[in-house]
Amino acid sequence: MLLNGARTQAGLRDPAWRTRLTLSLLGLALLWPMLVASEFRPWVLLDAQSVSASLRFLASFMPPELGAEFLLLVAQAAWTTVAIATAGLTLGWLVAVPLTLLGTERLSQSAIGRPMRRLPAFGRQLVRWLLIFLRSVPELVWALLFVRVVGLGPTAGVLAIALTYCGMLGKVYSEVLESVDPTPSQAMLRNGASRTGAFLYGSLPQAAPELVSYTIFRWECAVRSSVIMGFVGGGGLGQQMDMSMKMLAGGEVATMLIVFMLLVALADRASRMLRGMLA
Amino acid sequence: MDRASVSLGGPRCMLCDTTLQIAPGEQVALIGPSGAGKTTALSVLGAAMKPSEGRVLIDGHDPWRLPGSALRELRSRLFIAPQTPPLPPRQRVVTAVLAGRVPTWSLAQSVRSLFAPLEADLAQEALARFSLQDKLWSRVDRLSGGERQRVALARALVSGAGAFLIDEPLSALDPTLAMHTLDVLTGFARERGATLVCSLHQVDLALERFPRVIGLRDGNVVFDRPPTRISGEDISRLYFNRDTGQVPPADDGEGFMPHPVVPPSRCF
Repeated sequence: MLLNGARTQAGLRDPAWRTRLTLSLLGLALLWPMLVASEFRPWVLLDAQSVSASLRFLASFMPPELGAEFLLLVAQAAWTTVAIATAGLTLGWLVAVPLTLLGTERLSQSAIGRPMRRLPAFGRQLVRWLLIFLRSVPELVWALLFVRVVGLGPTAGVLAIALTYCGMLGKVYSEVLESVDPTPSQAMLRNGASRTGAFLYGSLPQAAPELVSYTIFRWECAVRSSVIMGFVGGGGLGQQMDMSMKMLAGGEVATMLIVFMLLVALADRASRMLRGMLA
Repeated sequence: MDRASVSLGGPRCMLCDTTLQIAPGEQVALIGPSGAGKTTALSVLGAAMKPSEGRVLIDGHDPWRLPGSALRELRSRLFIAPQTPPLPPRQRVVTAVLAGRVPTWSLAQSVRSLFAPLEADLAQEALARFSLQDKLWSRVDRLSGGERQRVALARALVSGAGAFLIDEPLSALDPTLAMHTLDVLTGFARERGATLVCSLHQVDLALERFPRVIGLRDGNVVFDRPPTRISGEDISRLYFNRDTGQVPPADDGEGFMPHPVVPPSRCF
């Protein structure tokens, strides 16, 4: 070591280092034009005029509206919102699960011991395209479409969430299944188990906590997006919030924001509990 | 049952133009140094790896020409047990063993068994052969390495397969347990009239317990005969390794030294 220190040092230089440095610099270089394109100017936040405007807006939230009549209204709207999110997510889940089983390469029968056959590979590509199509259309756009078909009300929201979230669930489920140790499911497939058998007995025991926490996180997101769809006539808290904002009733908006926080906290709690049970 | 003539491509073949015939009900040990192609040979025999050249015939059929469903049916009759027990750590032992039944179950049965194990008696019986009956309801991650290995073998026993291709079933077991476990495997295969092919590093056990021993080295069959006709010299030639005890000279001409390819030692 002492004798040929310099030579050993040269041999110890991480060969991956230069690539990493280049990629980091490239990333930063790409970030800059994006900041410019998005007109990102954080200093306007500290401008005296914007500070007072923000403070006035926030002050209008105080105090939250806690009248019994209004609380009852909010409770009903929150119930609708939760119902839209749950129904939409469930519908999406029902479609996403079979698509996941079809699309996950790890669960391929034909790829055992040889490259995947062309037909199954094409099928998987089709599934991937379908999932991309479903999730690339924002749920708001689906909602606007369905409002024209089924009219104003929660149904449009349910269908919109089902479609978009099916795309998201299917993609992430596949990726979760592909990130766990493949040996159990591969061993099952090599011994003649079906795709579903290999999934249930090989992948699911490892992936269950991830799948559950992602699903609950998506429920949380569905609650939020059903609010946004309420703004376009989807019903629930969103519609209520739209009205309150138009009437400049900040206290009412504040109450509804508190309800959101409670719902998100509830989802967080449920996720933790289920993960604990499955761990 | 198997008639394999196989060579895998690439600059260095894992299994080079190898011909093997294994009759139904035969018990064969595969021995040879690490990296000799034992696992590859088992995978090819078990229709889990398609030979890049040559072909493999199982029951007279080329599995790679069979339609999907027939190939699956064939695979359910050939049980491959990999060297590392393929058990999800969060699974219970009963489920891990019954996973061997899944190929024979319908989807509904597989789902039902996740809630209430369907053939727990079968799992219990298989575990009892390896003296693990009291672990039926434990979780896999609570087991020791040797226990996991035997749970994986219990899965093989419940599978109802007609041929067992088992990769180093004794690697995590102490000598006494190794002997007992091997006796359970050979005894079970004899009872069922099933074929048993085991790759082993315990040369003495292979020579003692198997009527036929195949020595593999660098993807080639060095010998293939009954142990009575295998001499000590055959064995030492099979395992001769010119790399051991010799430190390769430090050479930084190419940036860094590639590590010699050594399979990771097993530790659980």
